[in-house]
Parts: sequence; structure tokens; C-alpha cells
Amino acid sequence: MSRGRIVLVTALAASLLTVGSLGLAGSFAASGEPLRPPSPEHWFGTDDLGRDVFHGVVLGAERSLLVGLGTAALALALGVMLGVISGYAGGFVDEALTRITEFFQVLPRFFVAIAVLTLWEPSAWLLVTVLGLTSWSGLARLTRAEALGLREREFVVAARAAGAPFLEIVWRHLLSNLARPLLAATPLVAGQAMLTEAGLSFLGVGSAAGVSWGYLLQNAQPFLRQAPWMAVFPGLAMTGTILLLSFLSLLGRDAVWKVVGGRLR
Amino acid sequence: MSALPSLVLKRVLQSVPLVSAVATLGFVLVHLAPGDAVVALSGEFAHEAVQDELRRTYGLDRSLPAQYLIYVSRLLRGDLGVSYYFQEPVSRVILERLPATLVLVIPSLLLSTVLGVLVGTLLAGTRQPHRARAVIAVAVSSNSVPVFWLAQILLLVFSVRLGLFPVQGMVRARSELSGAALGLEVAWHAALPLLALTLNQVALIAVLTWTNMEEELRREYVRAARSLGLFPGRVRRHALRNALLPVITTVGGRIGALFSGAVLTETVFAWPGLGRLAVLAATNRDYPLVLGLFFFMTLAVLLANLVTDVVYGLVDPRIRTG
Repeated sequence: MSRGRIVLVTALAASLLTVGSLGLAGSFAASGEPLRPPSPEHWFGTDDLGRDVFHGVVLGAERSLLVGLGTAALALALGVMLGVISGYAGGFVDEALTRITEFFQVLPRFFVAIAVLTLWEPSAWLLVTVLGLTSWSGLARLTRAEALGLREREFVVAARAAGAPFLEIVWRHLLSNLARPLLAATPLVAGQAMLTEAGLSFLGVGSAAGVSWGYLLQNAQPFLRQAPWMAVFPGLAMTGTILLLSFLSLLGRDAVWKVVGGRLR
Repeated sequence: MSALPSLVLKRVLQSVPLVSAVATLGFVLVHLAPGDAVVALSGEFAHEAVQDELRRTYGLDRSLPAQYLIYVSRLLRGDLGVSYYFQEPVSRVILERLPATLVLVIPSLLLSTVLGVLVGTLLAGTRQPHRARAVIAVAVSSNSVPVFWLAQILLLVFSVRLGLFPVQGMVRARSELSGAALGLEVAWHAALPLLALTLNQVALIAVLTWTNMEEELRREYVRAARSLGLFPGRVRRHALRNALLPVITTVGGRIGALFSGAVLTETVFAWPGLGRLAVLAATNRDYPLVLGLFFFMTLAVLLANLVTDVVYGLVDPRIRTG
């Protein structure tokens, strides 16, 4: 129970911090001398153009979170939908969907994203779409395995025999049993998406779409010697956020379930 | 051993539809993308005659199904088109830079697997929850650090501050080394990129090995072997063989991630491999090269899956003989 509280408090603190710091975001324009170390005025120092690195980190948070949460939401929706259909329908449908899942599993996400962002006009939403479309296979496999096991269980058979509509069975019996593994797996999908986004911006792919942590780290690369703070702080912010998501997933395996368990149905 | 060749053959046949689906995806991507494919191939300011010529050679004046057939037959011949940044065949451009990337990918794969399995095996059965918790924390953290940032920090500490390793490149400029001296020089330059890539993987493998080992050590056959009076080391060897199976699957499944990690790490150290190629391809909107890299990586992942299956079959006697 105390672990459950820790999770809730951490999640709350993180979201409050996020909302609070978004309010702090000044404009990311030149506001001081270039390449100055951290000071009371510029907490994280300034970059080569005299821009405040702290403001950059806050602005980058917005984009990173958008990509992370957006991708996780899209992947969750696709994964659960296809997984339920696959596991519940069985037979030919299951076979076909399993092949499709396999296909998406071997696609190298990073290089698909490079190709799409180069061929199209890059934007955060395009990135969310690409990453979402290439991230659902794990969640689908998880859902399918669970749905397959539950299909033959007495309470599901009984519900079917009693004439419960398909969607009600899915909602009440499948999804409530799936909530726990999905709550553990989804933060990891978000974290992976944030890492991929940072990597792409670091290469300069799709960086036209705005300031992100990866962009800040790319910008820091030529100045590593003179201005290490340009790399240290965005990287710390990134690592901290993904660490939080990973621990949320670890704790989520049991604690989150205890907290929200009874209320999902 | 007789089942292994047929297993390989089966897996190769199974990957045929996957490869064709990936090829089709490439075709669809190019044709759905905004803008004229000819403009994409020749650049925006190409001469009209050049564009007409391209339209004819690529068959872009024909119907879509005909174009698809041409595209597939070119792919089958290993023809990925011509990079318009390098003005050379894409396959040659990629193959030229591949060795430099493999110099990072293969050693870090081996290093992180061997070290991870070693640490995981040593941890198993020690009944030390504090150490166990520390390892989990390290594993989760190391997997949360962006590998290219880790590379930047290593570069800052070990090259810039301590001056122990070179800052960038694969060999010093204007050095004319050969043989063992060249190997040493490359190894010295590769040390930090390798360290970054290995650190990113090793803890995950250690934790996986360790939890699997714990599970195996609790099984009936282990108890039976112990009660028969087998040496503890021998019992653990039996357990390890079974515990390794999920580790093999995971390591094999991370090849794609390892390649993208290598590409990013290369960028930090100005390593002349596929990383710099990816940057050049993306920033110059070199579509044939971008798609070529995508195909190439997919093939690498499929090949890795095949190798994973074979290794799995070699370790698991149920597959080898059954």
C-alpha cells in the first residue's frame, strides 16, 4: 500500500512539476552572453547563441512528453484493439493478424522514422503517427495472449451464454484483467518513443519541427569542450524523465494495480 | 544436428513474405510522399532533359503496377538506386561504410552478452537482496540514459578532461599505419564508443540472466541433481543452459536497437560508419540513400533473427534433435 502511495505521489509531483515548469518557459531567444556557465540568472547556463539552456530544456520537455504520451496512446489503442480481435476471434483472423504483428516487429523503427521524416514535411504529429504505428506490436502480443487465455474461462463462457454483447465482454472481462500488464508495459513504450525522438533530433532529422531535448544535445556537440553544461542538463532532464517512466512501470506491476484495481470496472 | 539445416531453411522461407512486405512498404512510402518522385531523385533544380531521362530509366511514365514490377526486379538484383549526394550506387555507398559500424556493433554485442551473463550468473542464488536491488536500479537507469548522451559524457570525462582517449575519428589524421599497429590505433579510438554501447546493454542482460537463473535454480531437476550429489558448479551449468534461452531471444531482438545506438554514438565520435551516412542522407534529402538504409537495416534485423534461431537451436537440445 505504501508503495502504491509512492507511485501516486511521484506521478502527481511529476505532473505538477511539468505544468509548473511549462509556466516558467520563457522565450528561447538570445537573452544573454553566449556560452556562459550556470549562474543565478541562467540556471543551466547559455548556449552558443546566448539562449538560456533552462528555457530550452523546459520547451524540449513539452515536445518530448507530447511525443512520448501521444505514441503510447496510439500504440495502446492499436495494440489492444488488434490483440483483442486476434485472441478472441482465433482461427484465420488470428493467423493473419499475427503475421502483421510480426511484420511490424521486424521493422527497424528508427530507420523507418528517418525515411518518413525525410520524405514528408516533418512535424511532431507525423512523428507520433510513425512511432505509434511501429510500437504497438508488443502490446498486441500481450493482449492477444491474455485474450486467448480468457476466452475459454468459465466466467467469459458464462457471460457469452447469458447473451452478453461482445463489447461488454471485452470491456468487463478482458480489459479489466488486462489493465495490470498494460499499466506496466505502456510507460516503457512512452519512454522508448521519447528516446527515439531524441535520437532523431540528435541526427538532425525532423528538427525543423521545433526545440527538443535531442536538438539541444545536437546543438551542444560542437561545444562540448567549452560549454559542457549545454549537454549535461538536457541529458539529465531526459534521463530523469525516462527513469521515472521505467520505475513507474516496475512499481506498476503490483502497486498501481492495488491503487486503481477495484475501480476500473 | 540433423534438424538444424531444415530449421534454417524453414526460417529463410518464412522471411520471404516479410522481405516482400518491407519492399512493398518502401514503394508505398515513396509514392505516397508529397512531391514528384523525379524531383526527389534528381533534385529540385535538375534540367528538364535530365528529368525526362530519369522518368524513362525508372519507368515513371508507365502505370503503377508496371512501376512496381520494375522496382521489384531492380531490388532483386540488389540495385537500390543511385545516391544523388554521392553519385554512386546506394548499395556500394552503404557497403563501404558498413565495416566501420560493424567494428562497433559486433564487439559491443559480444562484450555486453558475455559480461551480462557472467554478472547475472554470479548474482543468482547468492541471496543478497541489497545487491540484487542495486543491480536492478543500475539496469533500469542504464537503459533510461540516451546512448548518445552517455557517449557525450564519456567523451567529456575521459577525452576532454582526462585526455586518456582520442576525441574523434577512427585513426589519427595523416597516420600511415598497417597491420597490428593499425588495429591498436583503431581499438584505441573505438574504446569509448564501445564502452557507451556496451554500458547501455550489459545491465539489462545481467538482470535477465539473473532472474532466469533464480527461476531455474528453484526447479525440480535442479533439486534432483543436487540430491544426487552433483557438484554445485555442474548443477549451475545445467541451470544456466536453460536460463540462457530467453537471454538469446532478447539479445537477438535488440540488434535493431543496437544499430540505431551505434549510428547515434558514431555521430558523437565522428566515427566514419553508417551514422555519418544517415546524417548526410537525411540532411541532404537523399531519398534513395534513406530508403536504402531502411532496407538494409530491415535485412540486418531479419538476418539477426535467423542467427538467433540457430544459436537457440544449438543451445536448446529439444530443438536441435527434435
